[in-house]
Amino acid sequence: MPRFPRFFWLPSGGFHAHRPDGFIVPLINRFGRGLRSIWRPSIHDEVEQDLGFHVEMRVRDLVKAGMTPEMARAEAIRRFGNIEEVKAECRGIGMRREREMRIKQWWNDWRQDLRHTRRQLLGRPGFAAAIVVTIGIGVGASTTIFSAVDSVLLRPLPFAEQDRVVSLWQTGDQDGSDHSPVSPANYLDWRDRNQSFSALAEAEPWSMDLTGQGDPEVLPTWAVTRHFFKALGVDPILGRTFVPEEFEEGNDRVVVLSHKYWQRRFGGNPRLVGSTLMMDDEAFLVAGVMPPDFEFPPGRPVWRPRIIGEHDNEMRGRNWLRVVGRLSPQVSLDEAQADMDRVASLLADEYPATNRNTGVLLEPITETIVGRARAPLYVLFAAAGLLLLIACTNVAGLLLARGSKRERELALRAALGAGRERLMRQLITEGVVLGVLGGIVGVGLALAGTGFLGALGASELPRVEHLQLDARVLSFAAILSVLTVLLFGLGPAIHFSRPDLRSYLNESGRGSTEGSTSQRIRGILVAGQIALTLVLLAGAGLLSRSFLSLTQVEPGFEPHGRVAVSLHVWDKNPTQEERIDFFGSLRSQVRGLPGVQSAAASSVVPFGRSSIETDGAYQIVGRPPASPGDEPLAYFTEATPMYFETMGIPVREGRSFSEADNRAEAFPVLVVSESLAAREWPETSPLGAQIDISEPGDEPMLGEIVGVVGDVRPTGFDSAPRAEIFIPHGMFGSGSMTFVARTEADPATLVEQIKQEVWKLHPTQAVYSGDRVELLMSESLQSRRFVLYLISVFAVLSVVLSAVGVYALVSFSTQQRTGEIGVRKALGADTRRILGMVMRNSLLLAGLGIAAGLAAAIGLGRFLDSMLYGVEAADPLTLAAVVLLVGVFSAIATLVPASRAARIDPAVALRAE
Amino acid sequence: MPSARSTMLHGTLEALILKTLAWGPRHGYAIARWIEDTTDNAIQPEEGSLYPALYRMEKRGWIEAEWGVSELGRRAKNYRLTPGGRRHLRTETARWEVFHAAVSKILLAT
Repeated sequence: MPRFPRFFWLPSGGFHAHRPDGFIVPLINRFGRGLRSIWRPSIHDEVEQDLGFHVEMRVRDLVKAGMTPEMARAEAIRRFGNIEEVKAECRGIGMRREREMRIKQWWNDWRQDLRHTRRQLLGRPGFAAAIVVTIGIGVGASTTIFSAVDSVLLRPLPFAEQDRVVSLWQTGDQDGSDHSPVSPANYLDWRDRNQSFSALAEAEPWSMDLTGQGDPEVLPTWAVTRHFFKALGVDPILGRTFVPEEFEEGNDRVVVLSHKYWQRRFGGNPRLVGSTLMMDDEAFLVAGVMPPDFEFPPGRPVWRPRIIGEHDNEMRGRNWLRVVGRLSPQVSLDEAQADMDRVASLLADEYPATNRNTGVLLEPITETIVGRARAPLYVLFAAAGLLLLIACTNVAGLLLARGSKRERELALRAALGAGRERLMRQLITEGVVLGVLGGIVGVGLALAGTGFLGALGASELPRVEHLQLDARVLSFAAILSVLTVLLFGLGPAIHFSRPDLRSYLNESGRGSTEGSTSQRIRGILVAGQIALTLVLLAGAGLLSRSFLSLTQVEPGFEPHGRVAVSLHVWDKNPTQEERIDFFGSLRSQVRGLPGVQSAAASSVVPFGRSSIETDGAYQIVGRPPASPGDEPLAYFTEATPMYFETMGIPVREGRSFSEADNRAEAFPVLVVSESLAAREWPETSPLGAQIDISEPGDEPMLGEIVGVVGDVRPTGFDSAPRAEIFIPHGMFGSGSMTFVARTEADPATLVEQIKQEVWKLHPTQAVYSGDRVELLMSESLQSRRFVLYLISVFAVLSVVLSAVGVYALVSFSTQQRTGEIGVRKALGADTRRILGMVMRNSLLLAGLGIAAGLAAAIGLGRFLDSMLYGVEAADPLTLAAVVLLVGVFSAIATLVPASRAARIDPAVALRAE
Repeated sequence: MPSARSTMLHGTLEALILKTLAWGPRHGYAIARWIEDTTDNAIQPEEGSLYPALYRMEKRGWIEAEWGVSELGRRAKNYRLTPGGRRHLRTETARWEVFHAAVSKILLAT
């Protein structure tokens, strides 16, 4: 029976007789299974032979009893009834049996693998914990950032066919922005002349005072035109949006609320829909509530109808409207862009004064909403990816080191008959178990991480409120953790599942030197880990330096002890005199509060929340008029006396506003910023010069420059100082002002006190915002701080991981060389020489890693460009510091195991051999 | 004596097979012959039931197969009792005793 020789070697039943503990079990089982599966014929043959044999035997006996062979055969078969049916039945049962056995076998093997894995891991808890924590960190970081990427960038917006929805911006403003809001007249022409949009709408920022619901509150609102919700393709979850009649004068007192605001302010009361709210002292019907994730344009939770005014088509120079459109079916974005370019060039010809340089930019709506968040999120995602890669190399290194120690055990198992496939399976099972445990740790970390991210990024990331660990994110984590171990554990698994039997079984098995493949892998891991860490550190370093240089920017004013309270007082004070009086009274009342040193108001304060900014053309009297459209522009700011003193903005020349300047009938005086003075009067003093600040073509409106003040950073540390013209509040008496005060006492209390003083003047006057100026400045850094925090955490983790990784790999390799070192010492090599020998190799690898990391850091730096301030992507100082840091930690991680190796007692080392 | 072939209960056949194999491994034909011979042909297991029963019992793990060489010199599938089969045989035997005693009490009542 040459095909089935094994059967005859083994005593039947022997393989169930006893089950020794330990890894022998799977081996024995391996034989057992081999017996069954190797010489059992296919189920078809089995039945044929089994029943055929029966027939043969019956024939033999019947012939013996005297029948002819033919009759005997017929009788034997007849006794089966329908023999084919019987065979089929037997085959069916046999097939089910085989299947059950296979499943049972698989299950048994798997349980054995698991048992074995548990023994392995519990036997070396430190090793297991190191791997689990490493995977956990890598997976946790990546999952956290992925959850943000997913909820912010990947999830669809709540718009129907969102890729048909675009934002339309004006380009060609003098400030160089190509994302400027749109002027009312341009919008009307775009609307009437385009051939690309099935709906086009504008949204105008508007503020309303909500009263009758506790403290008066300023409600930032979007006043939107008729097709606004149609253009976006969004339906309310409660009630309705606006009907056409509501865009007629007198019928427009109706609002739609955002879900978030409805929840926060009204506790999600469904009966609010259909009832009225007092806004600007009028009753507004609440028509509907929008779906939870809809707040567009961002930042204002209420919508109301905007009636296109009769003067809209005259206002072309000032632009403050947001425009959205829905592309007609069959029209692509490019075609629509070309269409709008055509419209823009028509308008440029017709209105050269305002539109000579004005273009139109179409932008997919997703870009408008999440575009700003994309770069930081991708940078963070890349950083998390680097951290994960470091974790992976760490895992690979640990498994490699571990695998070498187990080589003997694996060789023994192989010798006892465990096939390569079986050993691989064992190693992979161990990997999967580690991966699953690591994944659990990772999800735990991600849970904490997303909470942190949500809190930190709430104001910085659009849509971050949807941040959650849902099935998508969890499957991402699961795939990641198992892939980590499989990809990086499979290498060692393949390597060690093919143990070299002779070298392990012929010799004593201990202390043979490390194989060259393993040595090469180890080298790659050390160098790779160091390179990855360096890249991550360089990124963190560059962002830190950016942050530092930003915070060292002089803002141009003194934030400490200052508060800013924004008010829109138009409704309560309809006339100019009333508004001037209101702020005059408020100033004197607040000045009377304990600790207050000075108080003033300005239409715009640096870093302020209320961003109603006015820019426009001016003309210096006595100079030739600029060609239309080329007039110099400046920002116009109304300010009361004491404004510069209160904010600590230095007066460079001349004087600031006096109380006498602050009256409607006073002689018009102006103060300009240093930037404007330097631009217009680079050589001479601007004092005494006359400026016409009227709109081009309007009645001249002259003012005399009486002072020059220092530049301020207007909207953030990274915003450029700008040409500004300050006008005494008394001249126009704006109702939208930010009240500022300086105190020696607690500024936070002062904010509340100022609100009380406001309400003393007008009990229903809403307060738009009130903050410490220092807080405003700190908030302006929030998004950078957000990215910096996260990337720093990643960088620190990467240093820890790779230090541990390098340490482990070097220790492992010195352990492999224990015997060799013993011999060398016995032959007279001194400690220092051994140290040098061990470290030379490792430091060479570290050097390679540093070189590779440096090249990668320089290459990748440009992706950070948009987030850097005041440093180059290839900043030599940062890179040098990072190289030094990486060099030091790799030296330490190498030195510790190396010096331990060098102190080996040769006698001990050789005895162990 | 009437033949019990057609009336033999399912479980009974299985019990008989198990009992047969309790003496040692043998192939299907030997099982049939042993039952026939031992009962003096009173019970003649029908081949059409015997083999499906064997395969079913093998699937349940009461018996297992090993391939050997028969006296004819050809490969034969020998069935062997497993510990599980042995346990089942004991159960069936006990049950038969109860059943037999009960039926006897009625049928043999005087």
